Amino acid sequence: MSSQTTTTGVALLAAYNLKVMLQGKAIIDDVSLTVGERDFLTIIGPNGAGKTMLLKCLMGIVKPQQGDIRRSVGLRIGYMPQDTVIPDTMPLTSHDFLTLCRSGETSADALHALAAELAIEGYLHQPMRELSKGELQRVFLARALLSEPHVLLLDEPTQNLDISGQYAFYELLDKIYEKKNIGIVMVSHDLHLVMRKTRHVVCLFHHICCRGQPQAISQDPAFVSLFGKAADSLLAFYPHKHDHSHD
Amino acid sequence: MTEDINLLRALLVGVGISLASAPLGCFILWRRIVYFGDAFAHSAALGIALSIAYAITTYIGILVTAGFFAFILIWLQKRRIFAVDALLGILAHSALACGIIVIGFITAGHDDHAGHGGHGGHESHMEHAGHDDHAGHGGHDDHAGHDDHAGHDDYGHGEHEERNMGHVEHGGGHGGHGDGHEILHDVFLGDILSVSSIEFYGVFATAVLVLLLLVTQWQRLVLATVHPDLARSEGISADRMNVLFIGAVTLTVATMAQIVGILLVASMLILPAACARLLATNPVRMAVWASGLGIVSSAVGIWAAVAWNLSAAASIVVVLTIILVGLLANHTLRGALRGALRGERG
Repeated sequence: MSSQTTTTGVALLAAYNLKVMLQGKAIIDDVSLTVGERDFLTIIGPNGAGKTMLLKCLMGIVKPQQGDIRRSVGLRIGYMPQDTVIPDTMPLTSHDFLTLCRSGETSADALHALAAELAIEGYLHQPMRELSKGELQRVFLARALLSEPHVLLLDEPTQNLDISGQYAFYELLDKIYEKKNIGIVMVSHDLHLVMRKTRHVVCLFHHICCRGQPQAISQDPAFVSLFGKAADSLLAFYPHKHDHSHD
Repeated sequence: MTEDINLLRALLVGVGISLASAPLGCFILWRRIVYFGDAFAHSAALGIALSIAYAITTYIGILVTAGFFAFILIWLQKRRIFAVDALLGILAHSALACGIIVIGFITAGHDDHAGHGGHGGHESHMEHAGHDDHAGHGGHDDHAGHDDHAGHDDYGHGEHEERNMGHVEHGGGHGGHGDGHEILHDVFLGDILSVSSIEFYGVFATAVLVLLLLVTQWQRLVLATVHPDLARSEGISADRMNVLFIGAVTLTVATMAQIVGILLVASMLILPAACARLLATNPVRMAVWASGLGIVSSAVGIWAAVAWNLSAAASIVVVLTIILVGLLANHTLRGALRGALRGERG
């Protein structure tokens, strides 16, 4: 399981044989992966598989009991959390949220350029509690991108979005990926969309069940057994060429 | 003369308390842990009781118990055996009950001996539960509704003044200790008009420490409140912020407990923030508005308390409530008006 997932360039962030125990249970078990420049890595897996925990390990929020994490010198990580909610008792505009703890680091020009790129200018000075989920998602993505990260970690970024919202978000993410020289690690449940856009898939259920290109992984027995029927429907969505036939 | 000085001190104490408690109240509101201030305040009852029992300065006693309480809370929070609100409920009411019992024991002991000093003119009331012989004094009905006080409206206005002076002379807070119910009355409703020197300086030391924390850590505290994991991902220790915040609340509540009384500490924390919520457009302004409103309403409340001989803490809370109702009415009317206008246009 120590095969490197880097497909291009230099490794920015690498995890080796991570193990995280919670109440006597291995949440993460012998997981290794590497993220390089321009890698687009998607982690899929059922609920409670340890996906969020893995991201937290990569960020250094959680210290694994075993294993090693290496980050390239001066590595900046942008993080977009799973729940993009803020306390509705707090009066806070998107602009205030984006500049929180960032005064001096980010210029007003850079902020406005990014706001234009993500099409959030229209509600930059609106209270965040008035924003829709899709709009909030974009504001959180903006916060993650504002530090000009080398690696972007996204934890189920399209959770709670309707299907058109999901499409729109992935379009935007694709645009960013094409434009910026960054590595992306994304946790996602949207199998059908993920499989179309992503470049490399890691299937996680505490340990890594399988990994590889979407086409290969969708036919991996471990993947099929983990996702069952979802995998079938995925194959229906995923525009793949049949290189063999089933009897 | 003494009265003027007491009034001035009370006003200054109001300013000091508002400067510390109002911005912290905003965080309490944002974090949705309103029960938090209440729970800490209740734990102060035990602190007061223990300081009487061991004859130490009440303020120090409260600080020690509240600190201990905060420590247990942070420790249990990490163990995740109970939800935090359940934890606070359990700890607070256990501490309160223990405090009441300890006060009961101490005063029962005192009553056996003649001359428990400091409060000339006070009869011993312990053995006359429920008596009503001074009924109709008004002004002191502010603890009606607390079962353990019912029917104890038994000190007159003149005696109250005397009691206040006595407090100042004693310096250490509850010197003398007439009887259990009188102590409990002070524990529950405090006395901003007779603040001892150590409490007076305690208020300003607290205000300076809390403001120092808020000014230096403001952005980090806000980000850790908005989204702890996001803060962590950016290298801010949300746990450290939590400890600093709990520390600040502990210190503030301990300082306020004896001055405004443990029943009204939570409302003094929350109400200015709740009013400010309706006025402010960003977190900094909300904290500034809350402090301002806290200062104004404590001044008005203290003035009203002196003018009509009311409980000062209760008066402050009533002033804040009136402000909140006014702001809410304004907010609702405006919303309705906007809705109507939009309807017309549509």
